[in-house]
Amino acid sequence: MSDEKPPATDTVLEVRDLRVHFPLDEGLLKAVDGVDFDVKRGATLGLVGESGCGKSVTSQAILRIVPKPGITTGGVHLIRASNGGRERVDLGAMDEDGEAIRAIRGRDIAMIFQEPMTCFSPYYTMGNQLMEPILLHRTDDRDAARDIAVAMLKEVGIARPEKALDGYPHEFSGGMRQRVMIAMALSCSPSLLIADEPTTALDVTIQAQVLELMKQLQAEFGMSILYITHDLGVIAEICDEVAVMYLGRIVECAEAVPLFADPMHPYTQGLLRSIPKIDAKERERLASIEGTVPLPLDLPPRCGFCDRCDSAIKGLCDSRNVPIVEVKPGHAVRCFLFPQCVEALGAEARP
Amino acid sequence: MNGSRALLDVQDLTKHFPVTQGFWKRVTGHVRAVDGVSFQVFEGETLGLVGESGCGKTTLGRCIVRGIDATRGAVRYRLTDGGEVDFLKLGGKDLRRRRKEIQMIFQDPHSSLDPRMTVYDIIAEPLRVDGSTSRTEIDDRVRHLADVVSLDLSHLMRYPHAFSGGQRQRIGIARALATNPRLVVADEPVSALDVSVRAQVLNLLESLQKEFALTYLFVSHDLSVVKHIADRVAVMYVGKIVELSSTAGIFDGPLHPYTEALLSAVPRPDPGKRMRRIILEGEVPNPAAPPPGCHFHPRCRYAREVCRSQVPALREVSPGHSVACHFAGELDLRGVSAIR
Repeated sequence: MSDEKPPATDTVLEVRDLRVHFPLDEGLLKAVDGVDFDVKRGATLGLVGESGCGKSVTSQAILRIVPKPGITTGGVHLIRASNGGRERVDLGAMDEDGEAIRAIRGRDIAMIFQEPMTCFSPYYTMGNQLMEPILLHRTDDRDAARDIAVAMLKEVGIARPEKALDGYPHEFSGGMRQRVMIAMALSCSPSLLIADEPTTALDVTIQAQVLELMKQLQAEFGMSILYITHDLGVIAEICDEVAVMYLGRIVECAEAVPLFADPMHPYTQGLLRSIPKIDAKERERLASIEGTVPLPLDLPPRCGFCDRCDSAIKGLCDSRNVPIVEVKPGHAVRCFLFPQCVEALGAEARP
Repeated sequence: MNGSRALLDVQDLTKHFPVTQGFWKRVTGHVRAVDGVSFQVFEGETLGLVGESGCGKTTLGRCIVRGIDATRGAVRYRLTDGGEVDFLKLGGKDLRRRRKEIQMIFQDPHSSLDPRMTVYDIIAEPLRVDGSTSRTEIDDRVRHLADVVSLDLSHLMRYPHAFSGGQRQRIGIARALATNPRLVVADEPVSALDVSVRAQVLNLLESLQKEFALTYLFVSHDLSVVKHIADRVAVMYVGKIVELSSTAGIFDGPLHPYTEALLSAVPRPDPGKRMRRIILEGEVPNPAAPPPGCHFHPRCRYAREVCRSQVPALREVSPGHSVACHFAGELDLRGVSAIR
């Protein structure tokens, strides 16, 4: 843990040049390749992208739970309150199995997962699993922990919480399990909640309930949320800021309203055009993005999207890595169609 | 498509799965997965079947293709010569002949293709089963189908694991089209796909429909997708159809409170229009012990005394718009454009 100067803005999590590489027999798989973002206090940042874009690995890298043989480099800093001031904690420097990171997991940063069916152990009661983080971080007294658990279950809208604590996971429906998971994640009042596709496995009416619950709990507890999903509809619903990921990099980052109103990156534009709109006036053919997401194996320097992009510039997009540049206040994009990105290449690197 | 003939006339289709208990497998109850469903599918149209998990939409699709045997009911299927047969009563040779005309596309492209068969064999299998097609004919047909769904011909000898989700779904579509079907039951064909690939497959399904004059029964939980592809929509809730109408009728003028809530729950990709949702309390009831009366009444904000005791029948309220609600037409429900 390091005590550095307090940050200028009110940020909870600062991610700088995060890289997660997997050395495989087939080559070096760059799942996350230079990701920067900040999560502001009390706000929700949406990380959106298709499967394989590295959004889940990014969240795992923050908590240092990247599966082997992943190698994580880059800076991940948690800014938390300590002794009346602010403390900057370098998560990237911590030992993956050490005490320090384990004191942060579940306490300062909590996570909820996509599969409410598989992330509870079928052998233990819900109460047993729900009280685990509470006993670890908040109290040693089992009765007090049980009281906290009951209060949390009430908070997430579970009827008869005392009875629910003695139930086993199979007795709960998907929506109920996701509620218990949220209760578990919030039981130690984390300053950051990482939600990895928390509603993807749920039905629309239950999804609406859970999203509403998360908004309401955010207003009450004031935690920040890093919301990871592939669903642009959910992003529009819950996020203040949005970062669009493609092939291990953030290609566009802005506040939600300008991002949806004026998407700049061809990938973001393509994504938004390719989803059927429920309130579309007429039925028209969907604009699809041709091709598929390539595997990030041994990639040469280039824009990852250039093979699928209609406006790719030959000799530029297919031969150089694109820098991400703030082309409008608060709206950053990684695309050579914007002259600012070409300028940012630096004089000697320019073609 | 009003005015065209019904290709399929489903009457009172019911599927009850027995619930057994104990060593002797004593039957203690029934899961009423599909509970007396009647509707028609017109020639050349896409009928969307929407509902939440457990509402019986997949079971309904599988009963129609005879993947599972229905408990009772009839599926009247109109033949090309104008005659009519009950698809559920066919057996032996007749069934094998007619089965070619009703095919299915599955949800999960990862588990619906045999990993030990080449793509060529997967597409050719339905033709080989028949036994009357010669080798060269099969070869021509497989190549043609691969071309139709935009699969690379040089990849036909590969195994499914070498393909991405979107490509696998194309293989599944080619297999379904191999026997020149008239009706295709598509069970959540794009749910497992990524957003950008989903649009490719939806576009493919639409152009195939035009090219081969296909009729689709499109089962999905995704209302935006159904709105995009369907001509008419049936909404299911706990084994019953609660509303059936043209796509515009369902989305702009829903008459069942469940449809209204379902529409309002869909997140829209527009942060400027975050609206007041109708948040349904509770969950979809257990189809083994559905609530009495209207199955939706415990979650319905308009429910009154009659809803708790009497099951509302599906009745036609206006031409082509049927609803199963005691107060159909009396409630002021909001459609998609009104929900803001």
